[in-house]
Amino acid sequence: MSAFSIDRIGFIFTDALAEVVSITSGFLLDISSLEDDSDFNEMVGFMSLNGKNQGIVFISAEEATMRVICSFMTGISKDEVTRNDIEDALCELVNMTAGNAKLRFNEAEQIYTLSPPFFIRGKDMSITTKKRVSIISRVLKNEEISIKLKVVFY
Amino acid sequence: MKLLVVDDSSITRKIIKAVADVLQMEMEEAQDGIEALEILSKKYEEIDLVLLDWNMPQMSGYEVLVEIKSNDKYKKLPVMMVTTEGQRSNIVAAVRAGAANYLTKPFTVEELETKIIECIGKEGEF
Repeated sequence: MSAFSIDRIGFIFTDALAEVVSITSGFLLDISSLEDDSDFNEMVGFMSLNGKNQGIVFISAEEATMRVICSFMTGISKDEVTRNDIEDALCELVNMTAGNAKLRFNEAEQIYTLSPPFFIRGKDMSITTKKRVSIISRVLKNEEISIKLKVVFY
Repeated sequence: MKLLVVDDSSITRKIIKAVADVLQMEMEEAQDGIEALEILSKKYEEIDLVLLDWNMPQMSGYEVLVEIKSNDKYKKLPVMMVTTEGQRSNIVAAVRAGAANYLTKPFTVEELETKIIECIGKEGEF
């Protein structure tokens, strides 16, 4: 079976992230493309994807967004959410999104392996590369929260 | 009634704690398999159900499951896998190794409550 198109893979990850956020925190998100596909929010969770395509999946959000999501996930108030909770929740979002996407790939006999999730935090982070890559960038948001998804293929 | 929740994600342990509170269950927490086996070796008679993640550092949840099911002291303890690994092959492997139930992340609170009750098998007590 031939590999999925990059657009198809991007759609699968976008849909998986929207579903994970909806199930875990109850938020329904609108999806749109990002014009600037290089920049991140201050917190980034990511994992690599290896199969017929090789890539990296990035999910980024501002701390305020993750604080709200954590609060809805756990039922504890926003003020009681710790820095560790926020970082862990973003890694879990990446983990669950990738796991959800992996299931969809497997159903179509597209076998991918995924690395563990990693987390980085900083200001003005962006992607630079010395190889031609394809980047799919989406923003998932509503009135309260905004999450960026990027899938980079190389 | 007491749960032992084994997951390296603190946020997942907090989500499960909220459900345990609703079900009026006590909860022990371990962040990896080694810690879980230490808790079990000391307190296995207090534990009614183990909730086990699959992907963890030190030991995988599957390895912990096999360890639990090969120990005469607590091999009858029900174990439910709670994991992002939702492939059929993983589910079959876990059930063959003795898992009583399997829940794929992400899950709703209602799904988790239902699965816990199924495992304990005593809905009327809650």
